[in-house]
Amino acid sequence: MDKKTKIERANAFVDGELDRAARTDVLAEAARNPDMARELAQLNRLKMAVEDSVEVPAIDLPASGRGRAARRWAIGLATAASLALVAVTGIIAWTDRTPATDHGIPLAWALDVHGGWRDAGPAAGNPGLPRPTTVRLDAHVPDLSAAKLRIAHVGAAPGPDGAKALVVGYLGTRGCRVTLLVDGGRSRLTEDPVFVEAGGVKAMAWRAGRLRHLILAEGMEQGRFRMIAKAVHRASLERLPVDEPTRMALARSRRTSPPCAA
Amino acid sequence: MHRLEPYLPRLYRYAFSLTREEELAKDLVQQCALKSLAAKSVPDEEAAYRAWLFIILRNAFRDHLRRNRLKDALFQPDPLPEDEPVMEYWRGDERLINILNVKQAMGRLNAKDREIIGLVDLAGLSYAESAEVLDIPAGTVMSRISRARARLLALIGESNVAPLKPARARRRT
Repeated sequence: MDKKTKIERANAFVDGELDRAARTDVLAEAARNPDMARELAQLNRLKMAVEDSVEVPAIDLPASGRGRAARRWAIGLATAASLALVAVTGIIAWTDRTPATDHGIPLAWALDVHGGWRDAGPAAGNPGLPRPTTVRLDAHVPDLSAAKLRIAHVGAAPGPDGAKALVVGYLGTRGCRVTLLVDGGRSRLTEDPVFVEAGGVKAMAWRAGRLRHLILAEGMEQGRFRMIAKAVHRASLERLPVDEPTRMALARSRRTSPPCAA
Repeated sequence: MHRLEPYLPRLYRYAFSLTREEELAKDLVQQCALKSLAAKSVPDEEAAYRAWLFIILRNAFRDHLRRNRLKDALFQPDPLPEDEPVMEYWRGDERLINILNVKQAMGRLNAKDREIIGLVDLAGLSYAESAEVLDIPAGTVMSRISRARARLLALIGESNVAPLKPARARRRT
């Protein structure tokens, strides 16, 4: 392979444009060749610095766009709710009529909820936004900003057994949407996470204390999804913020993975 | 939320890579939004919709240049052949690759290199999507981004913003 092809492939690697076999080849080459390893590190660093070199100002749709005031109100409400949520602790009593899959993961329900906030945006959270006095969850909502995911939606949705579940929607800068669902539904889940994939949907579920956690995304590269899901899993069990090594790994994974294809 | 809204930051980042001016970039995004909202026919499929938005923005920039009788190398034939060899591995100090140096070097980069970096790194488009926006083969995107980054690194290497030297350890008393 000539130098030009090698360098182009290194760039494609950093951009997440290579298939699994080609990625493995590049990593093997980097393990043998310090120049190649250095090139990959430099390209990664360059890509990250370029990404961070432009600050995006607030941009609204033109006046002919619709419902600006309503949108601002909804976003403000969602933000306020998310802040309140972190401070709230309590107990939810749940009954178990969960139509779960074989893995104990109510995937169809989760997809439905995910689609709800994804398609309708923050305003969709309005009717079901959690009120601290009525929805009391001891859920830990981690900060995923290292993965360039910000909380864009916080709401409550009827759970698969009819009671309320907490819905947290994370939005990425390249179209990725991740939904974290927390409820008290009973299932065979344990602290050991169960990963399922169906079509372009990836999900991971586990139990932390009394609460069932389910995280899912559509069209996200598998390695990146697993890393995010494991970070959330660990944070929910330890009830601690995502640690620095994990934050760095999340940032690296985001840089080297393609945008979501949902 | 309108389906256009999640794309506004990415459109702005691409617009800024074209213009290097905040106000003009915002204006281009607004024009793009207006045109897309007024369009009678909108692509249903999300990837096609995304590429369509970026093409509208690119055309808005071209219109801006025409209106103001400005020439831009972006829309001139490429003076460099597509098979121009890429540079060897960059030997510069990695600590030079920081936001300040990147900002400065981006301003000195030629328009076509800035645009491909704008599409891939700033707007986060895939090679295939970038190819659709630029109406070139995906393989050409791969070459272009590789050369553009090599030239950006070369400019960064010429930077006079040197990294700080590590502080000396205190002498024990």
